[in-house]
Amino acid sequence: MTGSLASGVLAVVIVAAQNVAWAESDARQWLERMSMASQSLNYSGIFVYQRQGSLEAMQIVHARDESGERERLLSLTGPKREVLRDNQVVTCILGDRQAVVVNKSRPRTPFPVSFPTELMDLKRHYSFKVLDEDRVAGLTCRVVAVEPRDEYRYGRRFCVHDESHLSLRSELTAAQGGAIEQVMFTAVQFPQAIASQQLLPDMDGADFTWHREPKEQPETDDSAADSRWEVTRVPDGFMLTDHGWHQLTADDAGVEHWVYSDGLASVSVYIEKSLQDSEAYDGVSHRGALNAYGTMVGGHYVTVVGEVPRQTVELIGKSVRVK
Amino acid sequence: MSDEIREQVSALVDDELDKVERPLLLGRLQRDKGLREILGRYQLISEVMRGAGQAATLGIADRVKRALEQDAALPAADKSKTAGLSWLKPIAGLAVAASVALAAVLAVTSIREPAVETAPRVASTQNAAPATRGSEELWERIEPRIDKRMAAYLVNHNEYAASRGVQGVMPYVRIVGYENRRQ
Repeated sequence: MTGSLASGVLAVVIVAAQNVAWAESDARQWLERMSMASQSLNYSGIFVYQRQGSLEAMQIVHARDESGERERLLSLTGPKREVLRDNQVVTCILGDRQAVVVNKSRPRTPFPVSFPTELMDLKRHYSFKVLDEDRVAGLTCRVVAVEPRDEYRYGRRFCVHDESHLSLRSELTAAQGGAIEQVMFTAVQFPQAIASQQLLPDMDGADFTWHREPKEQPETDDSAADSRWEVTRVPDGFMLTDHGWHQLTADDAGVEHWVYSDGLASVSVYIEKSLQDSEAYDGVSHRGALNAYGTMVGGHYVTVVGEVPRQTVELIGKSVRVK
Repeated sequence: MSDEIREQVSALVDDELDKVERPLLLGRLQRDKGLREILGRYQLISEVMRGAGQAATLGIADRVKRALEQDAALPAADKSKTAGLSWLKPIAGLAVAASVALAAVLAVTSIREPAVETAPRVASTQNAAPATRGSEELWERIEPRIDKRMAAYLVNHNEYAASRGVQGVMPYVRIVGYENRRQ
């Protein structure tokens, strides 16, 4: 009797564990398809971006053909701003600031198919769930939730279109579950082809101040070991994924850049020599879910930026020191 | 019309315009009939120099616009033939046709960098609040002071963040997004 009860309990535990495993596997499949769809589809639409009590409307046009991805994002409310992105460059035209910022673009890697070894790590820090069906922009979508297991990262909640697998609604959520920021399509189309005109900017930026990333980058040996700096603390699960030196604008002296990722969230550490020793630079701030921490160390600006909670950028930023 | 724009048009027809500036100028050409007329005049000069004469004088400016519109109607399969070139492709044919004449007539010696930099922006912030130390709203308060650097960080970080992982929110919405509290 006792033996059969124990067997029964064991069976229930095994079935429950299998269900959890299947649910996680199912959720990751949704996320993989979603990640692929956002890069491989032609789509255009209007969406709202909500954060910190503000609501803004934007338009996106995304094209994919054999020459690669092209994307145009523009504001429909407030000052005119646009971002154009293709396989080579990202151009941000900020009408209100009369400025254009140009930077090299980087190839995008679909989640996380190419990083199978990271999946186990991801499960240590996030749980994955497929939830109910919902409806966004008139289309049926499936809610997929990624929940953090500690306070050093945010959760994500997507509503993934049944047919195209494009995310129709994306939220970044705090550990307690509340949405910090949200993007939601109000209308979206999937045309067979995107006209080139739709990818051209409204503003030409000719009279604006341009901030260009120089074509010729300083000679670098990408080894973090060669740096005179070290980042001594990062939350569990964050790994150094990139390290290098950039010259982000033509007139800057160069900035050392460290990138840490836990497989979902990325944090950048920028270290740049201060031109004014007396300049105070210390504190935290945020723009939606993007937190920043800045401090001065040894006459250098140390700036940590990431889609992670404040305590994460602060922890990392305060651990930066000269070797 | 600034000399800089004219030089950009000239560089465009010479197929020498920086690829970053190309989409911006093409966008302006779409909207600016006057600019299309300038491009048309360059084309006319080219054709006159080649002996085409009066036959080529009318309606040239709008051919640019029509060329762009025709390109817009191409299905994706046709566009794939333009692999390797991005936004400029629709106008490249016109550019090549006019380029030889323009190089001779316009005597444009170089493409100027569009208004590089920005001492005034930095200098103007010297009078900002002397200390941001400990501020909870550092970003909003110091951003004007370090505007250029932070903007470059943001764009750079977005590219790294977007190249891995799953983006909860399209990364560039935070750049396009408008800070109401600044008002």
